[in-house]
Amino acid sequence: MLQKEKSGKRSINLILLLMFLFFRSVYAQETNCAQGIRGVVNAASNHEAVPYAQVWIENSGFHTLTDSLGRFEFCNLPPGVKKLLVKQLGYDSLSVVLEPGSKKRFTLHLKEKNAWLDAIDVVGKLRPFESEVVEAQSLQKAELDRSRGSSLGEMTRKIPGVSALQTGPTLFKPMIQGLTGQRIAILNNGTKLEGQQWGFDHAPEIDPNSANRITVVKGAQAVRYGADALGGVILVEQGDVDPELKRLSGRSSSGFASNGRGFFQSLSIENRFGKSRDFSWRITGSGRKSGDYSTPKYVMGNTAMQEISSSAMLGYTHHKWKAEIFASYYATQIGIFKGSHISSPEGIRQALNRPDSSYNNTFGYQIGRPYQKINHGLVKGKLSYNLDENRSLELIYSQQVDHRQEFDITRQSQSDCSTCPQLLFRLETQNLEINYQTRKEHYEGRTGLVVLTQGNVVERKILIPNFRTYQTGFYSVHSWFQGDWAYELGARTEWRQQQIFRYVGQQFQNPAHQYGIFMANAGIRKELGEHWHAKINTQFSHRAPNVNELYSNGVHHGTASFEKGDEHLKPENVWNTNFSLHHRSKHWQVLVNLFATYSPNFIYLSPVGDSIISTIRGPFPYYQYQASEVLMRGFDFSVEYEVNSHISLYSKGMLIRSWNYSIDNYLIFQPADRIESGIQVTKTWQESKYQLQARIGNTLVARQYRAPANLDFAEAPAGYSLWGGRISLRKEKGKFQYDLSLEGQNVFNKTYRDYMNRFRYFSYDLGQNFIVRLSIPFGAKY
Amino acid sequence: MSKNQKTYLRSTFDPLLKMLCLPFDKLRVTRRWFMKPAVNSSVVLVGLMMAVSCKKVEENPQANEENELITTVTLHLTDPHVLMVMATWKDLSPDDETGRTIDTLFLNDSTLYMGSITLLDETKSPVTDITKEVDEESKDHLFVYKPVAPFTVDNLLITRTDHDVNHLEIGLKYTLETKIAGLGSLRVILRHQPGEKNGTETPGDSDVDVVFPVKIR
Repeated sequence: MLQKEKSGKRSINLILLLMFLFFRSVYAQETNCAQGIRGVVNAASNHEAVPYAQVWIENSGFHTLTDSLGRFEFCNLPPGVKKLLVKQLGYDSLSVVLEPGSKKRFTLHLKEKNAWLDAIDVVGKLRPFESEVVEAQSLQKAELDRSRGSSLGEMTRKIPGVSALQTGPTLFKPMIQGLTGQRIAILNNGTKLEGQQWGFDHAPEIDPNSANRITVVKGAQAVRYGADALGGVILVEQGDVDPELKRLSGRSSSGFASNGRGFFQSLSIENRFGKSRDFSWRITGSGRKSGDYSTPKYVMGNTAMQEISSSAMLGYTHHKWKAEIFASYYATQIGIFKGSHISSPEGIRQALNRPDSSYNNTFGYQIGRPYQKINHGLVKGKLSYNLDENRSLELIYSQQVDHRQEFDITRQSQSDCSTCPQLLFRLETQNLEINYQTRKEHYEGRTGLVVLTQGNVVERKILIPNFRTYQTGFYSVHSWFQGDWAYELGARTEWRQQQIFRYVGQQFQNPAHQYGIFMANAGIRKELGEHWHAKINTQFSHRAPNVNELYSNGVHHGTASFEKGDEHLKPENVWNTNFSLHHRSKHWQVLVNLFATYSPNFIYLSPVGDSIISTIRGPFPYYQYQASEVLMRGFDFSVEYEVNSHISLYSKGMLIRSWNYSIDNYLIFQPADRIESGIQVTKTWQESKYQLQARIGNTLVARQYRAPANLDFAEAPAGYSLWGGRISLRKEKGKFQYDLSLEGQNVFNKTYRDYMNRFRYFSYDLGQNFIVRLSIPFGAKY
Repeated sequence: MSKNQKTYLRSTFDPLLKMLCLPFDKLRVTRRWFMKPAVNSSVVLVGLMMAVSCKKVEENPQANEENELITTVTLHLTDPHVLMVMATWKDLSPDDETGRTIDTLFLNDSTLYMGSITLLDETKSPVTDITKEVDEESKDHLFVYKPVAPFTVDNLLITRTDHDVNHLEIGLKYTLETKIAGLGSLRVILRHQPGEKNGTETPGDSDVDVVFPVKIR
């Protein structure tokens, strides 16, 4: 007890010391910018800050980037006439002549290149710390307004190279270039989402509807975000509150979808307060409710869902200090299609041939068993301090709780608890992060230390055991810029200890696993003339096996297989290389992205020979987590051609080839070849105050011929072609702004099954759906 | 794990944990600190760290409670001379291949047996009688009995004799008629069909699906 108190005191002292140091340095450093200019770069259309734009002075060594709030500053400029240039992807370049003795502060407005191009914006850089060399694409503004009311997995599918592993109409797991689950990191406003990512039917515990930007980073990002980012990263961000904000502002989005008769509403408000308006706050809330979804032939019984989420942020900026508190809460209840409650392989084969007329469900909003109930809470505190013009320190602490309950169909007369879930997981994570960042003219660097502890409790059916994980990571990433070139080098090391607590029979066991893992990356970006640039990025990552890969044991409901972990698995090694080529000219915008991922010991659920395990509920195929040699190659592209100022054509698609050398067969559950093309007509009037846009598009999905035939309950379903369209009216200027859109999905009500939907055994995919959305920004900036 | 390793781990992690789970009452905050906004926000930050308690509940795992586990299926048959025949299919540990015993059902040829079936969960103490639960919810349950090749209905003919409130058969009670002697098997399936029972096997899911070896003499 005494010892405990002592060490407690010691750590308090340590914190006090840290505080003291921070406090001291407030006064130790003062900006001194003689002969300088400073300014803010805003977007011309909506006056939002343009972060990370390149700003330089012609024929001089002065070059900088705008910060996250669009600000820039040059000091110690030589006298004389100069030309200031600003450049950012997606905007027209801007030049301003600086006469001697002219003003020292600027507000520069960048004009968007093409109004329609922001559909999917190719960002050269991304937050919270950017890389010049990785491939990243964002959904923002108009496109986001026209996607609200859907889940994260549905939204990100709009980006080429991103697909989703789906379980029914409501559960989507985003998949980047064939990798999903524990190989994709999702960041909720800069904090890595720590959820229950085992299981095909575990969708990410996040609501994307309050986000102002969703960015997908393709290719490995393990050095920056840790081992679970080795397949890519999804950033869900609200962004900073505008530093120039003068009064309460926000956004309201609402919508209604005909299929499922679902509706959603989200609201976000923000403002600044305080003497010098250095406090900022934002509150968001959103709700979504949907009834049973329908296929073209029948209602899918018990697929209703409801979801609420909210978040609050309070920020404070003072001199060189910046503090932020953020909290978010997400709760959802999702009905699982009744017809999928089949656990035997024989039953699944029978379900495939079930006649349409036997699905005699009626539409309703009630959610019965089986269903999932998920709650996720996050609290985060962030403190950053600018040591000087170029260097800053950041301290982030976050705490997350993820609570997942699964309710199965039970006999109500059952003697034990009839309201209890049949599966319960509770995962608690605490994360402490210290980052040191340098940002200079030709160099950017970031070094950090991340400490994490995570505890998991499982109740009822012990599908995986309880555990406690401690993890310490150290990383360092550096970029250099030289003319048309940008280079990046980075490395990360992680030490992880995971202790298991479980009963085997009557015997208590608490084995511990220790892993030391290492990751490194290198990348280059090169400007190729005015219209082209290329990026290549390669990364080696290590990933320690997760608890489900080590200890799963039992029949996993919904997958109709007996899954067994292997506690002797070693960390997997993954090599990933991404090459992308961009072109942007007056009429064309082209992006081609090639990738290859190789792993000699990819941890994977593989069938054990032809073995079948017989249980009292019947025979089940027996799967075990094994290390397999896997190679995945593919490419994705997007092409946009502007015929004239009104008409444009677009096409995007992806193709992936994956092979499992260990079984000499294809890798299961990889997306089929897909191409989406369409035509878009845009009409603007009153000096682009109003914009009317109509688009018709077709999605063509091939049959997945490259699926291992004998390892699935059914053959891959046939390919399909779906038609959709959207008409939208947007008013972007003036007092009352809005974005009103009507979208049609599967308008010809075609029956189809998708290979990546695990409920394809049990039902068709969704039928016709029409969605009306209305997004209204309000308040200050306008 | 060796004792050395444990000591090493404890010395590595304990201070860290203390940092993350600082008890609030031990942090003395003087009013003076609140003067400075920076310190102010640090205090808020530290306060947040302590918002959630640090009880390590995961160190005491609970016992596995399999959803509606059935471990034991027993067929009870009575011939016209009131002689009882029994056979049990038992699996006490559902997550592996151990703990399993399967009896062979020995029958005489050309005999009409009166049959019943019982289901137990023997992992619980006291043992749970699942038969009762099935009986109470008989409108959602259906037993299916099938002779497995080489047996056909010429060897074994099973007819369900009981009915639920909707006049659909249940199968807790049945008659079993043997004909030609031989070696084969009998498959017993319990379909759980909440709200969907229509007298056929198709709707719902299998709670039991076992095969008994059968010898007809």
